[in-house]
Amino acid sequence: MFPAQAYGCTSCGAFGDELGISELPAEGTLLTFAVVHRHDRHPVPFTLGEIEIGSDGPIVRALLGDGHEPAIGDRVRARVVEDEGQQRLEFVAATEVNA
Amino acid sequence: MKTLADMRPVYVVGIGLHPYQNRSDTTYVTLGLRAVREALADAGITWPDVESAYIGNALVGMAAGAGMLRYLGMTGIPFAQVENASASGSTAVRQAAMEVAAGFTDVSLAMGVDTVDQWRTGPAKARVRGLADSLAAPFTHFAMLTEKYMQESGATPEQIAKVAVKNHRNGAHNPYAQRQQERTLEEVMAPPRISGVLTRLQCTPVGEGAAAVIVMSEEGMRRHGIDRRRAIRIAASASRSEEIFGRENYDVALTRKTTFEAFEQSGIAPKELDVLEVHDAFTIEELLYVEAMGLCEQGEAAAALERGDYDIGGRHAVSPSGGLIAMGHPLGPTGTGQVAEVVRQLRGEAGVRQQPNARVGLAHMVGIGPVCLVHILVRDN
Repeated sequence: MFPAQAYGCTSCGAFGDELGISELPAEGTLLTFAVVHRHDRHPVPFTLGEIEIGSDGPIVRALLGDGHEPAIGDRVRARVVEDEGQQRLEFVAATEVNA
Repeated sequence: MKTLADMRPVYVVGIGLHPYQNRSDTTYVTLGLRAVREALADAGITWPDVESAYIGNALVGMAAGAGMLRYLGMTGIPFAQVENASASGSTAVRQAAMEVAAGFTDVSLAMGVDTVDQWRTGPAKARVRGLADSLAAPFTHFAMLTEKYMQESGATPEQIAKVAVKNHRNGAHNPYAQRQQERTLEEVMAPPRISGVLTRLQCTPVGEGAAAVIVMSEEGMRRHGIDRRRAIRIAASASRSEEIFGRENYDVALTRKTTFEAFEQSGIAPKELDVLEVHDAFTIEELLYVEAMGLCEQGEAAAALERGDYDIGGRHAVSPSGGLIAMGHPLGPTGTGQVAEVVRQLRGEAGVRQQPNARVGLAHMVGIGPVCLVHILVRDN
């Protein structure tokens, strides 16, 4: 399950010592996305994506970085970017990170 | 587990609303009292006849019911405030219906009321943070579903926008609707863009308002001399929350499961539905949900809508009130207001919005949780 939390497993109810933290690969497949034109605090437009991590991992929502026209099915990879002194995670086309 | 079908029959015998409207200086008390007084007058009863009240409310706050209903005269009846996010008003109807069905009362009020206010949600207080929670407003959640739906079904942005054209047309004839203006496809697709292909007129306007229904047993109807021809039976009430649905979108999977539970309770089949009020806060939702409810095959709702299947006068009138897109979505009232519209349709009292010969109707809400409620209503005579 994602994000990690210690309350209990949303699938089976396991809690306490039965829960552990595991690392996920920082890449996945773009399932869908939207270019957002309205937000109270975050500058617009920005693109939000829904990404399946790994091949059968959790589905996360994250910012998509500038620089490529997103398409459903894209392989994407996470990277950490500096944004006004703060670090944030965004996903970009997998090829872009390799390059 | 028992259902309404196992218990004594329950009928909606009175409906009332305060028009849904943009934020104003009107107090929630004024909104709520108007809806309740209209419902009492519609039923032909008075406030002392009511034996219990459920008040659907998401934003007003503690003791909202008592702070309002006292001005009808304090009769000492039990109140319970019901919060279930966008489905609060639907849940109030369910609670009142179950109480009457079980024989605790013969006459109960279900209502919803809200004014525009800050949302305070439980999940936001749980401190479980994803990567971009604050960026995924409901309109973006549904914009992402729209993108996926277009890719899978081949539907175009124009076809999706046509949901709003239909619902604005219906709302234009509804005196209780927040948006009472017909819109062309060009107007619906014009900026401002909100998220993805969704434009402003494809998104619900969250405002203020109130809705109320009076439910009764047959015993109550005899005692109060209710005209049976205007009484509409609640044939099913189904309420569910999220479970593990695998890869399918949870709004859709939850809607399918809850709706089919209601079909099973009532013995009604999808093709029998004359009128539906669905949770169309965003255009894409209507298409996804009518498919999940079995009105058409997967991926075919956009084409069916274009053929006029979901128009008033079509195979199934979907959101003849204007739905959340045009009638509006003031949160607490919305689910109760859907039931009021379905009752008006099944009585044949909907005027220019009337679906001809309507006998069976369905009201569907989803809410943050996610939760889903479905009621099926039937005219017996």
